[in-house]
Amino acid sequence: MRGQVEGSVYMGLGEALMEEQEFRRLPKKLSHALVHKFPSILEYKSPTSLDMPEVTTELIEAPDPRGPFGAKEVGQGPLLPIMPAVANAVYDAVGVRIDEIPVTPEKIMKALAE
Amino acid sequence: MTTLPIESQKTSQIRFTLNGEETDVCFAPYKTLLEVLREDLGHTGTKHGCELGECGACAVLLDGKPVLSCLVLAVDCSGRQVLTVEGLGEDGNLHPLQDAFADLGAAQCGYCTPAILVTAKALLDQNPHPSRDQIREAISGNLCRCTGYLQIFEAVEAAVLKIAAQKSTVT
Repeated sequence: MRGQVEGSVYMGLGEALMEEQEFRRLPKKLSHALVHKFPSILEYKSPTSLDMPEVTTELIEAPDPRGPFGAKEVGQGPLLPIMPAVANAVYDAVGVRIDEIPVTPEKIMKALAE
Repeated sequence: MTTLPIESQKTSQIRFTLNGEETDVCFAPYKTLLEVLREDLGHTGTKHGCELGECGACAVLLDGKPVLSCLVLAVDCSGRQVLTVEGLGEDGNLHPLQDAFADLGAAQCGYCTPAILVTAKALLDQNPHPSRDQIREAISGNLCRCTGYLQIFEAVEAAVLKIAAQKSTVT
């Protein structure tokens, strides 16, 4: 279960800081489909082991009466608070609100200049 | 233009040491080491990831050093030593790294695990007592999407202790 939490923190950090989904339209004479602008992990960077911070996991064991034998999910829940936490940390540090992810240095510099 | 049947494309032949065994293999000359291992030799423990040298899922040890087998041509491996995850354990026993990874939940989906295991083995062969930062550095070329790496670091550290304990019981 700790691994689920740490994995979620990791994915959340990737989404919050690095992983930008950009799309482009194929020309009309092709399929005109919406495809990934950078369909490789050369451009779509994910955090590596060097980027991963220490994570303190505290599990609160409270059974969910609606789940089988009190079970509940643990996988994706810890992922969601990471993005607002990072954006709030940026606000706390430099005083600008970045309201879209990923929170990139370019966006922060632009917001600071305004 | 006629397409050659697959068998007749196997015009290259090499002999190399795969997981400690002399191995002869015939294959099409354009194939990478990864493709020959998986398709011609049936060693599917080494995983096919991005094929661009970015994700690290295909790492094997070539003469003891981790390489990305999707970027190595098989014809370059003549006479060399290749170690894949299949060759880690000895006499039916898991390697201490494999043991520690299984015990400590260092794998979730497991796709990156074979490559991280051999990369960690290369690290421990070179440096039997690595620091957390050295472990981080060593596996920084292996992407893992599930675990967040922390339990992988802990498993490598646990394997260090297991190997030390094994050595002290032998001597």
